[in-house]
Amino acid sequence: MKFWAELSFLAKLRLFFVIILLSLMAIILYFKIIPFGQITYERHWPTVLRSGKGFIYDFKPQERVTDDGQSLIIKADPVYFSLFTPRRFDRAKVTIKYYNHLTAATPIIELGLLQDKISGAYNLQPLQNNILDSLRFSWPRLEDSDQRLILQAGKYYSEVADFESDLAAGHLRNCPAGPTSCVAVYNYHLSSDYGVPDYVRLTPFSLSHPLRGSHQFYVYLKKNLWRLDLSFINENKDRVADPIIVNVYDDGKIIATQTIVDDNLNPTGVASEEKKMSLSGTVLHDGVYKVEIKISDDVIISSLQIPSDRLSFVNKIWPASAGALTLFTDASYIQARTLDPVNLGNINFGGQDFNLSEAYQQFTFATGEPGIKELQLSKDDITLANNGVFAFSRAGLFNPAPSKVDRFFVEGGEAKYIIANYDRPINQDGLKTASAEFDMSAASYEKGKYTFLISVPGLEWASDSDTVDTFLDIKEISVELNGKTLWQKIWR
Amino acid sequence: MAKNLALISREIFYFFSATLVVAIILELIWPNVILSYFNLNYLLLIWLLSALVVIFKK
Repeated sequence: MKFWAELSFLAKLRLFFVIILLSLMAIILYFKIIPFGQITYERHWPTVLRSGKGFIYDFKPQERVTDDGQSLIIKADPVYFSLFTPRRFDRAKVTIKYYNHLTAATPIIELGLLQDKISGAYNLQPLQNNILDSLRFSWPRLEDSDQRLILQAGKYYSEVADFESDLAAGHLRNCPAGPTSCVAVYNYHLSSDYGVPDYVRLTPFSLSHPLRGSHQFYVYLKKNLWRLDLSFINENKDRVADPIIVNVYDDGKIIATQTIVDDNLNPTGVASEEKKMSLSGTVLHDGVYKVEIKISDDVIISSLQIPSDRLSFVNKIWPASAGALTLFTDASYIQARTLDPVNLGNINFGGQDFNLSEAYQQFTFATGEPGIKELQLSKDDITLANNGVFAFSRAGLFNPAPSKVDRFFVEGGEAKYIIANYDRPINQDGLKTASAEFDMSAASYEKGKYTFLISVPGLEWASDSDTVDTFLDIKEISVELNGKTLWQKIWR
Repeated sequence: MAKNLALISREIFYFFSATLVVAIILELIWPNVILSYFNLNYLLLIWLLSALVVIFKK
């Protein structure tokens, strides 16, 4: 007290302001370090008071989203946003409150977290699936727990254990062609034991058309030595490094991997470069292996050779030869997009002609024809995507994965069973609350930001229309983050 | 009293100057660490007002 009494008025005043400044710095440091490893960031609409930029921001592209301060309106698919965090976290629970103004053509809402910036791969988690919400009450439920929902088209099973043992044996009731043909999944990994009895390889696969950007493919390999030879052309049109990463998976586990680091960080004026890669090994059993090629769109796969004649590209293919091409797919639709107006024109899919009439716009072409469909392109350099596989030959096409309960799912079709990991949203007077959980440890974290996307497959908005009839009206996004505490970081 | 007010206003100006400098340095070291919570333009405005008060008191 004596010390305080001896201080002049000016000294007291300065001490007071210094304490305030130090307190402010301590608060900032606390929210930078987050010593207890837990924090929740929220964004509300309508926005009452916003003094800062916020942690959930940068909703884009602008033509697909409207933020008027009252609502966040999602008009087209997909919409991206950033989550700024001052440090990394291990897990996130994202909760979204929204009014659903969508139609039956857009039954699914998903939330994705960017996993890999090179390939642009997102970890998608469900928010709402109207097909499952409807089938949950019309199909007999075999299991409805937090972990799993099992539905069956008829009362084929009454015990989950019987279903599981039959599924493991590959002989489900009312399913003569095997589980892959009659089990549909949603947000659930079903290990498949896809096998080709007495498989005899005719000719090894050799890529006939170059492909642009990241690709994944299934390949059927016989128990023996294998070798994958790849050649790439880095066009050096962009100004960033273009690393090449190739992973080979056996039932989700990496059995071979190789990386080519791109040292060319300043490629201006540098001509394209050719790079080669070879992976080899021994597989212990006949079966399906998955190969993932992670490259940017500046890199072209110019050649690919592997000792198998069964090879199917998963979900996406981007042929880049600018010539005519015939492909095959097992899905009932394709999504086509080109970046170059030169490649606009007709696409023959399943015997029907469709017109790709505009560059940069994604078109969805659907056909009712069952089985494998032929796809004829007069000019390629078109990105093709669907929920199935693509192959260069009819004989080479195979799909070991079960079908997915997506927006093209038909009740009464081939699927007799559905296995899903899905919780339907809570509904309060039309305001729906849905949550999705993510493992953040493997997510892409750049410049202090995680990137998310909100996907409503099939939601499109005509730019020439003034009114929006079908949309998602978001009222709140909250992200609950969990990570290591300060003590765990120091002592471990 | 008037002398004290002049002193206080000057010290407030010093305080906002120091806060602004610290905030800018922290933003340069850890981008968005302050901007996510608080728009520094408001602080700049308050600092400017405090500077005007000091000038007029003189």
